[in-house]
Amino acid sequence: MQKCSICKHENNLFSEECHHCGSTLKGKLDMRYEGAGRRSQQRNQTLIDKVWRFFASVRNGMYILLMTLLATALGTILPQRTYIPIGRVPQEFYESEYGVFGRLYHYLGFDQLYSSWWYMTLLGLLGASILIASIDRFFPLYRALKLQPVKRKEHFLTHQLYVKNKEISDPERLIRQIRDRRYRVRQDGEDYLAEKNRFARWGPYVNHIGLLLVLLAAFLRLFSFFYQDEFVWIRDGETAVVPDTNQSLFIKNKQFSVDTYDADDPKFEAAIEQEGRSIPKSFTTDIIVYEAENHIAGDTPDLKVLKQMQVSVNHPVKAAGFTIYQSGYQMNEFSGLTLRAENEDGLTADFQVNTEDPQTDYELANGLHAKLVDYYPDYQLNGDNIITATKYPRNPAFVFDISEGDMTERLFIAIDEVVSETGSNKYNIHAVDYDTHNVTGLSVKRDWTLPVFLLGGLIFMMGLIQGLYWQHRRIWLQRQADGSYLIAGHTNKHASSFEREMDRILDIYDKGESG
Amino acid sequence: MTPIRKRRFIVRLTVLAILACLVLIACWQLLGEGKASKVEAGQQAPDFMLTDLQTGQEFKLSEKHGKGVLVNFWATYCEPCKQEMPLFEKASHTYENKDVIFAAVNVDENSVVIERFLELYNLSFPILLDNGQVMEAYGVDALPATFFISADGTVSRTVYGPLERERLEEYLDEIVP
Repeated sequence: MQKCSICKHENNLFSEECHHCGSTLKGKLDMRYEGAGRRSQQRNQTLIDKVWRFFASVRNGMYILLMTLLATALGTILPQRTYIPIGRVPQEFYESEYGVFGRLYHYLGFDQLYSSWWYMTLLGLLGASILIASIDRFFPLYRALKLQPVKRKEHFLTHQLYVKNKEISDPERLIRQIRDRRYRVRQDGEDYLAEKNRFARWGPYVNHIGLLLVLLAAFLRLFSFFYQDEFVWIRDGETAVVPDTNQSLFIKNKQFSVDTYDADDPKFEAAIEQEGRSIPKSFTTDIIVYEAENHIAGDTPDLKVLKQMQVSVNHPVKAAGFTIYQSGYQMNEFSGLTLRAENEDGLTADFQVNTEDPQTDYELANGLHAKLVDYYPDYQLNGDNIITATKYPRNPAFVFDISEGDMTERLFIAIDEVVSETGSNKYNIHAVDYDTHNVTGLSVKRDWTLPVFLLGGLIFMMGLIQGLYWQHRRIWLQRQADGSYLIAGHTNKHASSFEREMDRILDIYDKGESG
Repeated sequence: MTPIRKRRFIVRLTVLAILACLVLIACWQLLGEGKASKVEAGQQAPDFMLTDLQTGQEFKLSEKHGKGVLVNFWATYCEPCKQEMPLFEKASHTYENKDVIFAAVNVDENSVVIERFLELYNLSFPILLDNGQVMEAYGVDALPATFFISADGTVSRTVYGPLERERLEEYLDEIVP
């Protein structure tokens, strides 16, 4: 199509005067798709054609892209649900932190925006737009360029960017000049077509293939075969099953350790003193990865050692198709308490209580007998009641019956307090020492989509370079009736540099003529 | 339609159909996310094998085929669990004759705490001590969680949160063989 410069009426590509106002069409030809009619622009007959035409439109594509961008930006206003502090209830978190806006944000589901069905649909529409718009343009253009004749209508040539009428006595010599500039030349009778860098025209389409691969990678992330992200807490010495592996993968935490900066090192001395505590340097877990076959949940698994290794912060390890990252730890769990009991004569005796699975009876060296009556691994006061908040021994408390012969006294013992429930205060008992154990937090991830993302990015860049750094240039030489030549040139970008090239070619030819 | 038009129509239809399928699959995956690891009604109940604290014997789910099984996940520190335990105790006696077995899976606590709880609530049905594996196999992430398993080993209902008497009896009747 070409637009009339006076009345803006869209005219047929090859008409010489405007159908609407009759003025001569002087404008350049729209060469974007070689004048090839895009098929979606032809008369639509079916619903499928209409849908196709919708997606083939770059304008609609831009609207979809704009909506996707807005939605993506919207998701960054408040933290996504995955990133709120562990253990916070989303509903309560958003309201208390961000007020009414936060509540609305959560209510509308924007806290999980990127995994919402409508965001995925937007990405799907974007993909459809990119794919269909490309198909709709690439194939007609490809065919038009492949089948282009050497001889063109005069109107076509005179409406190109570069047009010149010239006497040329030795076209062979001019063609040699053109060939030297890496043009490929075809001849038809006495007419010539020289062309170079046609591949630059495919840049946008190569680029779109890259984009589609990126979208495909995002799609593949939805499948656990390609992408899985699990998290396990494992106590020192314990073996845990990795979630969602069909009970086939187990990890043992042999030893978790924290390395701190050396306080005696003159380099760190001042900083550590200022901080007032030792500063961790790195966290490391020695792990064993096991595999189990046909394991029945709860049964002692029949474990086969896959790998033994060390995982630390920023040094993930690979095993069984997963990558294991050191990504958390807890150091506040007790594994055992040493209690000291004093009898009426002031004689003391120490005994150990295992906080993970305590035994119930303890015979002490000073003749006392301790019987464990109740145990709260993580005790809290709830009104007048003592309760345990979790099953983890983070704040253990015990109820002991201490007896000597017939005398019995009931005592409540926590780390830093002792209460006599019977009120007799005959025996004294308190915690003198404790052991803690560490809990390591490991991320177990599998991500096969990264290579697809990478490939998509590479192809995207290739397309960009291909389309940006090369220009598709063509020169037509057409012999006129009077024996002179009509020279026309077209480039898909950088017109002025092309015009200079043309001028130089003709200049050199002219010099050869005179010399 | 000319042959070329026909071909074009088929190409367009195919491309659009593939794209529509991809979007639908993506949305389906998204809606199912998180549910994937949870055992749901209609599925085969994952087998498990745990020691019964009451008798010291092994309890294996697959050996109970032919009987209805109620599997309840609980912990002593879970308040709603405390409320429904007496209900289970009562119902377990009623349904014992109807071939429905009760199994309460405790989530990884120590025996002192559990035994103290058993004394307090006077429970007689099997109490199974989990090591985290069974909870993972059933995808349980909140307590209490109750699974009603039919005699053929399929899950008939899953209930998260406490049960009242009427609902409990209604669901139990469904799994009576």
